[in-house]
Amino acid sequence: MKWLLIPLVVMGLTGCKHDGSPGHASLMDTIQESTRPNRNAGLSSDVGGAALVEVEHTPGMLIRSREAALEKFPCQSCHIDLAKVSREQRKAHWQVELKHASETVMQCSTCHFETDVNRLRTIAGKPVGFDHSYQICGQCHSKQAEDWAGGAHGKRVGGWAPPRVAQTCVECHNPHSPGWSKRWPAVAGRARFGNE
Amino acid sequence: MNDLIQIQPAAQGTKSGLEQLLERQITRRAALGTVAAGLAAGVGLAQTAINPFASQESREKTRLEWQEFFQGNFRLMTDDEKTQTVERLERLYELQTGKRINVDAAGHHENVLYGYAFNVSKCRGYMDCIKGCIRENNQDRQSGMAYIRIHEHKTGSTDFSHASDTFFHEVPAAGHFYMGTQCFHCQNPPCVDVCPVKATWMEPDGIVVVDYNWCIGCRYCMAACPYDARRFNWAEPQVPDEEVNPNQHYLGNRLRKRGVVEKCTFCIQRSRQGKNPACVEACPTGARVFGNLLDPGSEIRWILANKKVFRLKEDLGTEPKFWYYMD
Repeated sequence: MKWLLIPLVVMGLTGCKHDGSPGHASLMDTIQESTRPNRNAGLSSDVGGAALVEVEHTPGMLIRSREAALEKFPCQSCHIDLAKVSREQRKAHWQVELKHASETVMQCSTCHFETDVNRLRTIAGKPVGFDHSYQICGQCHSKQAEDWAGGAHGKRVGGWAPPRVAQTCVECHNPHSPGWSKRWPAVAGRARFGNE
Repeated sequence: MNDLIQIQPAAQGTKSGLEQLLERQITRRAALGTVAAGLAAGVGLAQTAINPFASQESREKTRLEWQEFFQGNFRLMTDDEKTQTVERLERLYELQTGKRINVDAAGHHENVLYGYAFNVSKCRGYMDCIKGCIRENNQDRQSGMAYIRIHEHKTGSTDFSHASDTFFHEVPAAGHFYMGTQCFHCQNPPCVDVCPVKATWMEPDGIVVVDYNWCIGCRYCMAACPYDARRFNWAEPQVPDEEVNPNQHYLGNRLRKRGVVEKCTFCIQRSRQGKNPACVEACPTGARVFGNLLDPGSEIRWILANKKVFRLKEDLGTEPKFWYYMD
């Protein structure tokens, strides 16, 4: 009887699926054991031609320069002598409507200096360039800022391959009215019935 | 006449062309293919003989279609055969429509294993992903096929039997949240195990693919998939010529035929070039993250290490490479 047991035990041990392919039990191990810097097969992403700046305190993370993208930067070109500003240019900020938290917390001067218009202002009154506006947002939204720096919040520019370029806060959220609106889905319901 | 078929005695150390031909090792499939090509040539010849209007092009088309009918499993092809196969597809499309497409047969990259993360807190049900996917992957417009489904759940429930994937109203709806499903590219894919003809497999970079020419349409894989990731072409897929995405991959978004199974390939034609899948690029909320699981510096690795993640039906042991997470 005990001789019968031996082949049974052997079959039990070897009967599982072992075909040399990366088995199911090893996926998390494979991922966790992969700790050396990866060249990603030398692939690279096309991130467009925009000027890039490094995110402070986050090695390897880039964003598109806001100052380079702003048409009328530096702001002083208008604000220093408003008399010289054309009628059209004067309308530049008329559409700004502040819908961000409550009036007791958020006013123009929460983020902007009244004199140094080329830079943003932290709560403590320190200047921050427009390129690094995420530092202004991150003062209150620290959880989001942490997720963004890690890669769990926000949207990538280009593909998955290096360099790592991310959209910065204000590319998705209007800082004066950061909420997202409702809208209709891009695909109608009836168009999705072909799935069996 | 005799002179013509007489075999000349071969010079020392060399063999005549006919001898080489006769001694050549040939597989059954290749032999059938050669015979078929001969037949096709014959048919073409007969066509021309009967119909003086049959053009050079129609003969070429017939020949290519016969060759395609007899092509082998993609995984057994040599690099040369792969090149011939994709060039044949390109030429056939050109003969049919007069337009050029580019069919890629690029293989995997070393030290790359693709993975996906989906932020349940961020998805707002806009379905830009579905639209992007349909266009990128040349999916049948007639049946409304879509690889991705967006499920609208009532807050507090993750029961898919009570969720709707056919909703059409302004989103996000109050008191609801959204979850997308598609092929999860399981590391232990049950769909691959059940395929009786080995027409579907997992590539070394983790992408589960289908050789549409080898698929017999038995739909076992659809029955085996616990996530409803696979789709079947009941009719000839219809894609308007002007909407066809010309950048294609043999294992990805090339045009399919009636009677074969297809599914998400993580946009293999894009991801193997370092790009993000079309759904990731189309998503305006940033709820979709894609990357290399073997790169410790990648965003997806940060999510796995720092966020609370879960996968669907983890108890089945299918090991999907698709994680959900929350803010």
